[in-house]
Amino acid sequence: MEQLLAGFAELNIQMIVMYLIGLTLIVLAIKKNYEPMLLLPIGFGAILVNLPQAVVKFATPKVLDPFVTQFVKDNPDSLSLFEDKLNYVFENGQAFKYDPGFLEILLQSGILTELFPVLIFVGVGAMIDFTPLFKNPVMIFFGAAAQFGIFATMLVAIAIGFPIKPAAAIGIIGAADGPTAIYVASQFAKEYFAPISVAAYSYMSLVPIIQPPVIKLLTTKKERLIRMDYKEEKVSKVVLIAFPIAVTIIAGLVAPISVPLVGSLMFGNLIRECGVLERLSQAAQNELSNIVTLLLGITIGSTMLAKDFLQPTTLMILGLGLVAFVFDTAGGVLFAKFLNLFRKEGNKFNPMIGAAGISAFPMSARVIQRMAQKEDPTNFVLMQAVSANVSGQLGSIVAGGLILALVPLLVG
Amino acid sequence: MLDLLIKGSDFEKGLFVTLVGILGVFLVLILFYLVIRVFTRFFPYKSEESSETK
Repeated sequence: MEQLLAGFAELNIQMIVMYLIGLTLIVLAIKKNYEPMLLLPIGFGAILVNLPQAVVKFATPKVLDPFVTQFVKDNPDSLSLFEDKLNYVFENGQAFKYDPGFLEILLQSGILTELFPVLIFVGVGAMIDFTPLFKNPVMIFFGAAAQFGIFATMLVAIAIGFPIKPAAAIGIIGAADGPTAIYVASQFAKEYFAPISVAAYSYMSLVPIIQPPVIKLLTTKKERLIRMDYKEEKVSKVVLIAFPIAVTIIAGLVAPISVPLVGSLMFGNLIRECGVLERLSQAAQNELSNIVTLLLGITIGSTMLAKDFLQPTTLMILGLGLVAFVFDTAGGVLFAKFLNLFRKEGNKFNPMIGAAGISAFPMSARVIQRMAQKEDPTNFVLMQAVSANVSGQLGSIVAGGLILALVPLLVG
Repeated sequence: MLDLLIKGSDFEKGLFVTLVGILGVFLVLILFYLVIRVFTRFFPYKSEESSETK
């Protein structure tokens, strides 16, 4: 009888809070349609991992290992080796050995190895159409300006006490690019992996709520009414095929560490554009993306153990994620206004376009078009916004790659 | 200079990463921009290309 009631005996208030958080994510996914493909699995994973005994994470009861406890005390550098590779968990300075449950196996093999984000990028690459960017190449600069939030947020995070590596991982929430955030967090801030991932995906779904007030604050009605010409030009197939190859080589030369991100994105895009791999392109866009997204979501949820997640730092990270999106939007808009100082009347950018330079595709472009039409129902800036939005996808992985390259130079 | 930064505070390191990072993103995207310009100039769309081409 005691064994049957063991689950109830272990239940505590923290677990119940995590069930409520998990349920909230599920409700947001179903009722509000906020990134349902990720928030629903994340929410369910959060519930699963906080059930008594957390068998999805620890398949067998944890066993105290005094030898490893002492060894890690003497050699603190070995801690991550035992945690990441040898199935040990450390509680109150003591080492416990466990057999991994199925979600822990997915975490170790799919996220800590960075395999899932890279596979997602193959799928994303197969979905991206760079044609709007080739028609408006100047829009690529908004994809750079709107990465400002990443770096500004990193500085804010350092200022409030985070060490530089976790601060950089928190800043990457501003990439508005889930796989990049996961990729950087898995290298720089495993301890904050759950809040960073949840913030990255939650705020992406909140772009229609976050961006409009920031844009309105920074622009005048006259600026929001600016019309932009759009030339409908066709793009050669050679260009579409050569571009992903050239981008991979350039990224590999400038920041070799970014190659897994850029290379997988561009590989997916090459499959799409080559014209002879339609079946693989469809598989990358559908089967591969769907399966990895499903596994990724529930695995992220499984990192939300109550004792790690219910910390003041989680709230701070969620707050900083919002700051990152605000800075990104402001960076793009202000950059457009800056460029307008040098452009002739009639050839100016609608500064709202700058805000579409974030990576949240195509949501941000749609938000800008909606705002433009609210001001003037006959103003169409969608194609320009899409060009900036596609550039944001390039800008965010380049920024992620540069952070991965620069930070270790300074801290080892 | 890098040695000085390694001994500096996290905020100083953060400022360096910010400066080099933002410049780096612009630099790489300028390279991408040039690639697009060169490719579209040397490989313009030809009307005889298949109807699949966008």
